[in-house]
Amino acid sequence: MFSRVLIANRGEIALRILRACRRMGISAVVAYSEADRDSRAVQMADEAICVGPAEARRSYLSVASILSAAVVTGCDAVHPGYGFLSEDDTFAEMTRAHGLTFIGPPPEVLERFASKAGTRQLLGRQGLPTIPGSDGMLRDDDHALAEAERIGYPVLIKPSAGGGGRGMRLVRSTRELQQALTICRSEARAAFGDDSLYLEKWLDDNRHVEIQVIVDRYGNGVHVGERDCSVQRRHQKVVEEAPTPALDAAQRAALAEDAVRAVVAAGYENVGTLEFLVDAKGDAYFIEINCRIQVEHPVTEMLSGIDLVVEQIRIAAGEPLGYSQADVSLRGHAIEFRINAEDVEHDFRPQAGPVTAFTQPGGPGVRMDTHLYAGYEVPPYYDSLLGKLIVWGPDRATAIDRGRVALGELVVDGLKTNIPFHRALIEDATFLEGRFTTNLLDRVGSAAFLAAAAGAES
Amino acid sequence: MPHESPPAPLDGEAAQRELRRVADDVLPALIARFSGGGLGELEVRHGDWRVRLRRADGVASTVGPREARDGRAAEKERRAEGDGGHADRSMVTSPAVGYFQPGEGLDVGRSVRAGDMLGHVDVLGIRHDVVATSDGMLGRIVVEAGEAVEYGQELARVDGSPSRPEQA
Repeated sequence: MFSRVLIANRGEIALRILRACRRMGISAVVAYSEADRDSRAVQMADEAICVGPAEARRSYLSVASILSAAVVTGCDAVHPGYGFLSEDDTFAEMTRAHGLTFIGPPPEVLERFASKAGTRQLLGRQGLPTIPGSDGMLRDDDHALAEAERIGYPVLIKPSAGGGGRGMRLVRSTRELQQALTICRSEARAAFGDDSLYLEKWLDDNRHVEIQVIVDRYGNGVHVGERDCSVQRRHQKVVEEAPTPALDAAQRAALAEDAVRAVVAAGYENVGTLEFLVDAKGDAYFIEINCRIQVEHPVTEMLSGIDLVVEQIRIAAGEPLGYSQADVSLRGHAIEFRINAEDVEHDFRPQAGPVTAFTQPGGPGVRMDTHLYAGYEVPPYYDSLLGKLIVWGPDRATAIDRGRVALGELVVDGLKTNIPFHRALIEDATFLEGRFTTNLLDRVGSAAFLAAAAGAES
Repeated sequence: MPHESPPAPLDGEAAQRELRRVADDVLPALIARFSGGGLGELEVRHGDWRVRLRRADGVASTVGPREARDGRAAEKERRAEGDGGHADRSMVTSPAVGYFQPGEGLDVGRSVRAGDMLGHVDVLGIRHDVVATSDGMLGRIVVEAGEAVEYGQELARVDGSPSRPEQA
């Protein structure tokens, strides 16, 4: 097992990893940028090291700075968290070249699953149904137009290197496609340094369902059920829950078993997530794999009692899984609300500034993963996630009731947050009936959704 | 900061390009300049956009003192509660995370000029120059040769800077 781990991330996930290390008796060093000097992870860390200025490219995204920090602090492993360098196979390779372990899939596994289009082909060959899409990357505009005709509109333009919804556009006609290609290319280039794009068939009224898997390096793999992430705004997940209300128990089990069988056969290793789109008929299509811990992982932890970050560390250290599918039991229902620094009344514009007051909710089945404290100043340089409120109940109705109470207790003062959005969502009939689809918010408009909720209340 | 006359309104693509340029080039440069100087607030207007930077140290220092965890943390506190890490030009700080190596003949009392190379920080075998930011006399070297340093850590101090007459 590792003796010292460098945490190459910030915010709530840095704290989450720190806690996992502590539980395992591993000392942890938090790498931070100048903008995160006063962060809770830095305050709580066994040791913290400043790796660069606020600008992520020169701190959290700087391979040399992160690895140098790991070397000078005597770490033997690096946990990249999510985002930043978490799925960068070059970083994983460099980590190994400096005699350190990357906590995640080994570099050659990351490389095998690096291209989204390539991964679809790879897992398609292992029997997973995949979403119809372009034949590889788009070579030019003519190729894009021809492929879109073949697949049939509407189509989704997606960057090969991407994640988090950036560089993605839904287009319904040739004209829209022509206009969007240039924008998507430049967004993808700016965000990921790679402007290759591909097309994917868009299923109207689809649901986003993802399967959590854990695979050790000896080919033992289990799934830990699914998560439904259909409450999205502009392709960004806002609320996640498990089990998915979209599928029955038999359908859920079949999808999860197919997913874990396919990734084990394709040589995946460590903790990962397979994302599917599920259409109105309940048919699931594989879209992509995330080779890292995900923001919404606590939902699965609440159901299974498995600590997914501990599992990442154990597997990266070469330990065998040590249990089988029959040992994994999923109990009850969990919902996660992402708490973001956003002004819901002004197009969810990201907010920064001091948090003047913070009250965390509590009670049975309530968990809050956050780096907030009263007096903390939210820096403007990074994403707007302030934390995650996760609620659990023996059934969905209880989880929703607990969510409503917890959202009522949660206080974040000093800057605007999306808490009002969640309070509206939890009264919304479509959500309560478990019928949310990924395009619902964007179709009705988030502002209209909020206004309707406010109208229904009064 | 010189003001320029606003350019013609931008179309969508040009606006995207302009935004990218501001985010990738202009902003980091401004932030670097801002943290290097003693300014409290800086606003730059150009055409359609406006960038305003405001020093947050006032707020940070109102959070209140915390227990220092170790020497390095105490050093951080001291800097965070001062007038901003790099505002004090007599302080020579580390440009990167790595191992510090002072330059040959780098003795206390030697006179140095802004821009003089005082040594380097070894980042995985690659040298990052440590450069004096003001004229004066090398007052003290805070870090031993071969010691691990973090980004922004104080390495040495240049005293009696002619640009700071109150100390002359």
